[in-house]
Amino acid sequence: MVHALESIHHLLTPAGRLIDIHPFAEAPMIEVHQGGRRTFSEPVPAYAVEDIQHAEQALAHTVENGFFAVERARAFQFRTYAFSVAELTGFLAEQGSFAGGPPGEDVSAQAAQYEEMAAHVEQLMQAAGEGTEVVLHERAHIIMLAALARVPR
Amino acid sequence: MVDFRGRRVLEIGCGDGRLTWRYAERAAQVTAIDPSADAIPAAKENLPENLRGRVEFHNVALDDFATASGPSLFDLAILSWSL
Repeated sequence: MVHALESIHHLLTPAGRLIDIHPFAEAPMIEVHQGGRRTFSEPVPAYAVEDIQHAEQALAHTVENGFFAVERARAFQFRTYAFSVAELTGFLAEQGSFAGGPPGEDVSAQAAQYEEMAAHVEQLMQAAGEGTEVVLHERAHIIMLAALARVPR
Repeated sequence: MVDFRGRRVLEIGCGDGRLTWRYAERAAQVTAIDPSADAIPAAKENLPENLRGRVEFHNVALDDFATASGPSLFDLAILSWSL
């Protein structure tokens, strides 16, 4: 990840900027929304929090080593809506968000917890009927970094 | 937070381009890359007509792209959920 950030620095003009958007290093919430009301909310089990921590460490490392300087940063809430748990699970798997691989392939206790929760959410949605959505609710950072003078590569 | 006007933008991990379309109209030129072979054809297919000619999508990893490119090509780089 540090190498990737150094490559980006190489590609930027001397006055260039890097915008990094990444989630907080915490499990996001899976929520069920019905008619604008939240009826269920629990953290996603088996979420790959360590990957986010590694990304944050890499970013901090490149700042410490003079590639970039943080100009601005702010936090925001980000919600991804899906019509079904299967759709949301597919989205998370595609993003590489599961610590031990996609449910079904991962045999860890955390993956089993995810599958149990997914089944519960599916039941809630079926019982609630039309107009019910499952929502992934994340807290995220947006950070603007200024590329600093070239560091010998 | 970000002024895209007149900027040459590199978007890393563009996926199917859902973020690209939101800012590309304001940028001078956008190069959007993603290592996923599935994502780029979808991004190209879904690109609005008015952005064709301004946005290029490439199925390539950052490392390979950086190796093949010269320095100082972009004013702005975007990493969205992709570091």
